[in-house]
Amino acid sequence: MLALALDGVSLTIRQGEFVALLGHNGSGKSTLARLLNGLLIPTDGHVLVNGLDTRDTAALGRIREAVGMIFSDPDNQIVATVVEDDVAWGLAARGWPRKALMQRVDAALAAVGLTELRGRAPQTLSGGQRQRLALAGMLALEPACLVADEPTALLDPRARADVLRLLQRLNRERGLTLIYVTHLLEEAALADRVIALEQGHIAAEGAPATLFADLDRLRALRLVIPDLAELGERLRMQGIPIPPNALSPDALVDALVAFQEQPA
Amino acid sequence: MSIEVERLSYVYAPGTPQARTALRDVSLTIADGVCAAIVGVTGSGKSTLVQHFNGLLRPTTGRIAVGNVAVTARLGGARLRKLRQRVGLLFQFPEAQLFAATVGADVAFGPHRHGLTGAALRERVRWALRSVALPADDAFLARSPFALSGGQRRRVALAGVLALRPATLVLDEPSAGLDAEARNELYACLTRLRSEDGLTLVIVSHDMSEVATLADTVFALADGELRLAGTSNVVFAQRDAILACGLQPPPLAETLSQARERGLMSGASAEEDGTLTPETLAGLLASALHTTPDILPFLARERVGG
Repeated sequence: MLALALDGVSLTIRQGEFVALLGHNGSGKSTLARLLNGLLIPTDGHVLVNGLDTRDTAALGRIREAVGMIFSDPDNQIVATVVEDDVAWGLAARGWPRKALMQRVDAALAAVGLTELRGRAPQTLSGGQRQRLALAGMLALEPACLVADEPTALLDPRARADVLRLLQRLNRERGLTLIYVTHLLEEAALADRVIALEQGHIAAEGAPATLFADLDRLRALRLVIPDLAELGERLRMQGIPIPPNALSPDALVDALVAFQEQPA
Repeated sequence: MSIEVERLSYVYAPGTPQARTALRDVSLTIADGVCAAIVGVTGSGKSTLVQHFNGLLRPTTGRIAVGNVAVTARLGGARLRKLRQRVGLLFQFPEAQLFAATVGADVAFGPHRHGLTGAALRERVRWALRSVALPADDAFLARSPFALSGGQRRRVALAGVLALRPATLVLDEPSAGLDAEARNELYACLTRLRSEDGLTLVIVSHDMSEVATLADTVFALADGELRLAGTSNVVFAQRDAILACGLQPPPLAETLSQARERGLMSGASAEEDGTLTPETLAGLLASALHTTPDILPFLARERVGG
């Protein structure tokens, strides 16, 4: 039997967008992510990055300049024995002159907050710091787009929040196109647009505030419904207007305060 | 089975330049039949602590008693085997340890090593599989564990530990990497094992929602020291102390704390003993926000009526 990991998917992602690919294990979200920079080549159909076709091997170099990737386990992409050498690796492999290379490395380390740790050995860093190092290695190449495949899956809660905040800031302040693969509604709630996958198809698509209003539909996609999403649903039933994408305590309490302060 | 830990310290590689103190002067008691959670960030000492519970590690100083067995450097032989049978330890991603060609052979491995054979062994294997809500028929026993879904593989691994009929089950990050359906099935199994078979559960986790769902007692570790201990409601109410451990309070508890801080709960009672669920918290918040002096609805009716 021929198993299709993805089946007839069509979508467009615009420059500067923050898109979450949401789905449970095996829904096809990681397969889709790996097709975006030619790590996988479509069996049928095509992927165009700035007009370049990933099936064209001559274009793959330029496609991967434009679309960087980070994964759950940063150790799979950390290669050097010193933090700053690791960040420099991609540029050195491209033959960059030292001065320009160091400028890029300095900027990338500063962007992820690892400047102080540049002389350390990667294995002495915490999990969250190593994920930020993997990200710095990507940022040094200044890609227009970053695909992050469950980058917080192996991190503890603090480190998880740090990495997510950092990616959000890079998207907002530098216009980095961010494609974020996750199975967590709380993380997808931060995106401009959510694309929910199920059995290799796009099952639902839209802004989180719209998509998360129908929790039963998300339950049918076998997603974990966060406690705060259920709390919001119950409060809405009691006449308190909580936006469906308010999935953090801060956002939810903001909505409660706004409701209380509104003129009767 | 109760676990009593008294002033436990553990040093890795003692007497060498790499010596590192992983646990410092930890005292705690896990009562028989509870579900206790050990929480803390990476490197806080939680895995080191639970590895003492079945004698994988022995105290550098201090004492630990599991049931009536004292875990000391000298513990060995039949008493150690008995301890390992009584305390089942399920590591993180336990499905990675499945090795046999069939589900039946994998689950039978432990009890067979402990001397069980024939019909008794077969019955034990079927019981273990039923306990984790998997089919116990011949067709399922003959399947390869590697042809199952991730959630089923994890439960086969759990069945392999249960097949030794432990009285206490220690689980390290039991739901890591499972999707919603598999996670809920696992939670249902654990809840049933506790209520029907009276198992004592010890869960190592940094997922506070999971802890809030399953555990009634919580111990928080940071830098090898016990920082917080108590029932989950009491521990989760100590928001600043939880944050100081590098942990996030569960989202519902955090929402309630923030609502209090911003003066939304002034109309509600300050204490509530029940476990927080979306339902109970929605009730608390809605009643606090809808609290208006009695005269107001009356005036509103007057206006509508007039």
